[in-house]
Amino acid sequence: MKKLSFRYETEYQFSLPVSKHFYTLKIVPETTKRQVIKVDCLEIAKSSSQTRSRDVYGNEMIMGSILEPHDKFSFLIEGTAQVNQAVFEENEGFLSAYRYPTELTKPTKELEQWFQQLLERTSFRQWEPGEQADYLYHQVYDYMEYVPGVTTVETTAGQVFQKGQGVCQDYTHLLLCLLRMAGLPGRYIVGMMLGEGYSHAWAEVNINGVWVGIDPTNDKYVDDNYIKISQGRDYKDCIVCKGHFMGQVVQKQEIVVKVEEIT
Amino acid sequence: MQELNKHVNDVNSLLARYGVRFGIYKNNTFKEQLFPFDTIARVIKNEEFAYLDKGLSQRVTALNLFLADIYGEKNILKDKVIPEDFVYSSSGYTPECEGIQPPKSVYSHISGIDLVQGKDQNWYVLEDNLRIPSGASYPMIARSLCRKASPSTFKSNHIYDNRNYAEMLKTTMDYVNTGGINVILTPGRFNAAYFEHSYLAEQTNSILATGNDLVVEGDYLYYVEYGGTKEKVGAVYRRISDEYLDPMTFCEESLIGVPHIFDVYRKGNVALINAPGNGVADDKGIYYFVPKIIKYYLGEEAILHNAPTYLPFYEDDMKYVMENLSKLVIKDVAEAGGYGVVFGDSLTQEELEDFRQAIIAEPRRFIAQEVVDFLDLDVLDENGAVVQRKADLRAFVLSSDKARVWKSGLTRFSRNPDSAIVNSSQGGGFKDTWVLSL
Repeated sequence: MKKLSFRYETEYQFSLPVSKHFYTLKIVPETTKRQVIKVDCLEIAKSSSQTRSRDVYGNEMIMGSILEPHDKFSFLIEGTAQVNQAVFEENEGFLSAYRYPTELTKPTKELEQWFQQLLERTSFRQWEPGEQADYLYHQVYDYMEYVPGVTTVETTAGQVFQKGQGVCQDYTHLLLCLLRMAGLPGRYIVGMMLGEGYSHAWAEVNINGVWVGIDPTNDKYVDDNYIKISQGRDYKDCIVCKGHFMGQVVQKQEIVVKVEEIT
Repeated sequence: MQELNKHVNDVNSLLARYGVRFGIYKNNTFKEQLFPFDTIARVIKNEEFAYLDKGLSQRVTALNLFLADIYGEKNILKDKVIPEDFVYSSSGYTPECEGIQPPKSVYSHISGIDLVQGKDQNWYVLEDNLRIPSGASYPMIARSLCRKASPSTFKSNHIYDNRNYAEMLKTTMDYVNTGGINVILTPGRFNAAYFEHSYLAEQTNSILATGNDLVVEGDYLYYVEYGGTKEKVGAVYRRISDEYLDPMTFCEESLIGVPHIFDVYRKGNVALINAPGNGVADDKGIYYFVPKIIKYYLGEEAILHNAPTYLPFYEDDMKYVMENLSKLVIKDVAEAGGYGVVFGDSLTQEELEDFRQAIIAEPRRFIAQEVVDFLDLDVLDENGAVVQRKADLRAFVLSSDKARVWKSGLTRFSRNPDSAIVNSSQGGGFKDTWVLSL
C-alpha cells in the first residue's frame, strides 16, 4: 500500500480567440477498492455553464461550455490517492463491450496471422486465462520499440503492428487486440504513474471476474505506483479533454502530470 | 382513377416545383434524385389493411421491447434466443446507449417497415427501418396535389384521408416530450430532404432548427431564437443520424449536431426521436430473428412473414446456402438502401465461387433469402401506356402509448422492367397508397 499525491494540469493556447466552446473532461479519478481518492483542488477555466455526468463505462464527466471568445483553456486537479493494488476490482458494469473489437483495436489479416503464430509456438489453448494474458503482454513488449512521435491518437492496432513502434497508447491497443482475439475481455485505462511527465495508458484484463492491470509499455503488472483516471474500450472512450468550438485555429497544449509518494 | 391519370404530368410538375426530391441518406451525404410520381395508386382493401395493421403493430411493439432489453437487462441474450455475437458485433449496436432509458421507454417512435406482396398474395416483410425512416411526406404531398387535380376521384372512392400523418406525428412527439417545445432538427437547407423537414415542422407545429439553433446549458437543451431568447426543448425529432448527433459523444467532426445533447438525453431531460442505438434492431442479421423476438416478448406467433431467410452463421443454413447460392438473394448486413444486394442468378460461375468464399470467410456478414416473386403493379410509362412493374410498400408505424399504423404508406416501384430492387436510391418512382375505408 502506498500514499501518493497527484497533480494534473493542462493549458491550451489558441492562436486566435474561439467561441461556443463545449468541453467534456474525464479527469477525476474514482475511488475504488484499489484506490481511495481525495480531491483537494479542481480548477477549470471560467465557464458559461457546467454540469457533471457519468458515461457508460463508469467514468465521471465534467461537461461545460464557454460561449464568449477566449484564447485559453485550462484545468487543474490535485489530490491524494491511497493505492493498494493487492486488492482486485471486481467487474461491476457489463463485460460484453470489452470483449469485442473497436475501430482502433480491430485485428487485421496480419494481426490474425501473428496471433496464430503466437498460439502455435505454445500450448496457449491449454493455459489458464491468467497465463494467456501474461504471455501476450510480454509478446507485445518484445515486439514493440518505444518511439514517440511516429504515431497519433488515431493510429489503429493494425497500423501499430505494421510499424512496430509507438507509445503507451499503441502498446495498449495492440495488447487489447490480442486479448480480445484470445477471448479475454480487456479495457483501456488512462491514468498517472509515479514521477513527472504526461498521463499514461495501460490495459486491464478480466481474469475470472476480476480486473488485473497490465502495463505492456513497461513490461509489468500495475503496482501501487499507478493511479487510474478512466476506463473504456479504447483511447476514444477515455479522452481526458474533448473539445468542440467555433474557430479555425492552431492550438498548443501543455500538460504537466506529477505523482509523488507521501511518506 | 382514370380521371386522375390524365393529370399525371400536372402533379409531377407541381411536385418538382415544390422541390419534392428523394435523397438517399448514406454516410451522412444525401444524394439527390428526382422521384417520379405515378398516379395509379396502390389500393389496399379495408380488411386486408386490418391484417397488415395487426401484423405491423405487433412487429413494432416487439422491436421496441427488444431494444429496451438489449440496452437494459439483456434477457433475450441470457436466454440464448439470439447469439450475443449478432448483437455486439452489429454495427448498429451502440454501447453509449447502455443503461439509458428513453422517455416512456419508446425507442422506435417512427418505424418504416418495408413489405412486398408476393404472387401468392401473401405479404412479406423485407426490412425494418427504425432509425430515420423517411418518405412519409411524399404520399402526403402527392395526395393533396391529386385532390386538387381531380377532386372527383376522392369523392367517388372511399379512401382514408392520409393527411392525419402530421397529427399522428405530433401525438408521438407530445407523448415523449419531457417538458418544453417540440423541435425538428435538420442538417440544414442545403439538404435534399429539407422540404420534408420543413413540411413536417409546419404540419406538426414544431420548430424547425439546425444544430446551431440548439444549445445545451447545464442539464437541459434550449432553442435559441434569433434575438437570443431561449426556450426549453422537450422533444427533438432529429433528421440526422446517430453518428452526427453529438460531436462530444459520437463523430467529433460533426458540424450539424448539438454538443452534449446526448448527455441531456441520458439524464432523461429530452426525448430523441428516434432513440439513438436503434440500428441494432434493424440490422439485416437481426431481421432473421424478428419472428423469435415477437414470440419471446409477446408470446405470440408473428402475424407477418419474413421472406424465407438463411443465416450462414448456422451450419444447416450454411449448407443450404452453399448448395443453392445461384437461386438466392445475398445481402451484406452492413449495407443499406438496396446496396450490397446480389441476386445469385445474375452471377457468373466465377463470381459465385468468389461469393462462396466470402461467405465462408465471414458467415456473420451475410444473409441469404429466397427470391420472393413480387406481385406486379400497374404503372404508367413515359408514353402513358400501362405496364407492369415490381413494387414494395413502406408502411409507417408511429409508437406512443401503443403502436399505430398510418392508413397509407409509400409505394415504391422499379422503373426498370427487369429489376426487383425498388429503392428510390436505385432510380425508382413512387405511388400513393390508398387504404379503402369500406
